[in-house]
Amino acid sequence: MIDICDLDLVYDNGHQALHGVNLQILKGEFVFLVGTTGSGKSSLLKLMYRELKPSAGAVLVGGVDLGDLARREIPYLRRSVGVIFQDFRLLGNKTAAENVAYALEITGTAKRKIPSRVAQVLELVGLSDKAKRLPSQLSGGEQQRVAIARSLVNEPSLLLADEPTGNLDPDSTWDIMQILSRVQTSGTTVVVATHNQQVVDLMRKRVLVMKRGHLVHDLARGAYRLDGRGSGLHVEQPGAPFSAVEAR
Amino acid sequence: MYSAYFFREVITNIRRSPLMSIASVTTVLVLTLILGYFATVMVNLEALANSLLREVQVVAYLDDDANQVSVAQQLERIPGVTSAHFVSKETALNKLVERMQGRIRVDDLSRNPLPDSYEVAVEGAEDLEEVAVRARRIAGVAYVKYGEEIAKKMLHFNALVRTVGIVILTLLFLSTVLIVSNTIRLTVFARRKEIEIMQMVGAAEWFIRWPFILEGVLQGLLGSAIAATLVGGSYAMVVPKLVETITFLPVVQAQDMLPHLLPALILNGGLVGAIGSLVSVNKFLKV
Repeated sequence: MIDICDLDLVYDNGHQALHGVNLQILKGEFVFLVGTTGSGKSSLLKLMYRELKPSAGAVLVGGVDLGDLARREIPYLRRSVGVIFQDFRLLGNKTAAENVAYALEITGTAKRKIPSRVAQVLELVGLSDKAKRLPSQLSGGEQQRVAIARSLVNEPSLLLADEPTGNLDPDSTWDIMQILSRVQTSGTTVVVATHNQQVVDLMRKRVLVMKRGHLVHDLARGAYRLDGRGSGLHVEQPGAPFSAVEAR
Repeated sequence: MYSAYFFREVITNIRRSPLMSIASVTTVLVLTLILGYFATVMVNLEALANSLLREVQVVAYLDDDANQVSVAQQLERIPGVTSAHFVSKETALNKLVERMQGRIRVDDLSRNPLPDSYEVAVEGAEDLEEVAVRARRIAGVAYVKYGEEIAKKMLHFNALVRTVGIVILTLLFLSTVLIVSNTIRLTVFARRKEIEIMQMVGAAEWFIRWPFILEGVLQGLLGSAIAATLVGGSYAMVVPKLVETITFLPVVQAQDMLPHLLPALILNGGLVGAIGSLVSVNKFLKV
């Protein structure tokens, strides 16, 4: 699904955010992207939905080299890649259902097909009864579920989540992770960038560890936690000694 | 299919930030007023220059033995000549005596020293010189006068009025676009998060742009329509009074001016709104 080769990313201010990243994510996989702030997780996600362009190397999503995409082709990529964020990014003046419908309206979906499709995804995220509420009338967890519904409504083959539970309480966090897990089960590739060690530890999915722009670990069923001094990130591979890992 | 959606978006946006819309409409209104009044002054100045030029005519003075009919025919055949009016030497002398208000008397003259002449009217001031040159070549024409200096100065003045007018109108247009785009940029800026979300969920750039452009066009049309009404109304009111007071001034009549000026002003407002929106929204559509 995703092929990344020798990827470098240098921002306009000269800061190198990513160094020689090589990575492959298969169709239908669930992957956690972990690392401290500034490690390059978000930059890597942004490259996957072409918010950023690689400085060197290549990012291929579904076989398409995103570096070669013309500006006018980017919207079409975004329709096949769902993205959710820590701050939900919902339109405050539209109801939950309208926010979801919006992603269909922009793709020119026939008007009569929109209500049933919106109802379907809202049911998937457990919000059928709150379809007519504005984002301000929903809890954080519910807003994130609306965002997930919006990202799924065009049936993307890839779902990217940038700190999706960063603003949520533990209960809502768990709800969101279960929804994402269900999304993966239905065949969508899911990539989640997160700081939340509990989530990573509990889910036991593939974990990619970023540090200062380098991909330093790629663990099949990884877990991670902050070390006892709270000064860095440790990741463990089941069966491997805890020191298999790193941080600092 | 999208147009209904775009219009809905525009109405929602205007309802959501009415103050911003009022600011845009007012900006276009004020600038269109300036543009409109300036345009009326320019058109009148040009009309004045043209009417003065029409007064300038070619006068062909004839030899004593000239064949008047043949000269008249040849004069009228010159391209650009609209009419040739014969002035006999007697008429010319009477006019002269009249103009001198008694300082010369016909009785004092042993003979009439003035020649017969033709006053030749031309279509445009730019034809004067060519008509004069050709008239001079006609057999029976002794010499030709056409107020060369005055004509040249008037033509120069006319060209100057036109150039200055075009430059100032262009500057006014550009500054209107700039000010309107800045005003609209405030409304676009207030909705930059929305634009980001639209881009994120895969909205094509034209799909994001159109509601903004439409909003700009509507605001531009509204502002300029109000301004055009004010310009048109005041012009139609002032002109008859001006004509009454200053009778010699060739003021362009409202019915000649307004059917051209008002649609142009309104269209200009729509155009300015469209360009202003486009400039603003493009700044927020970086990828």
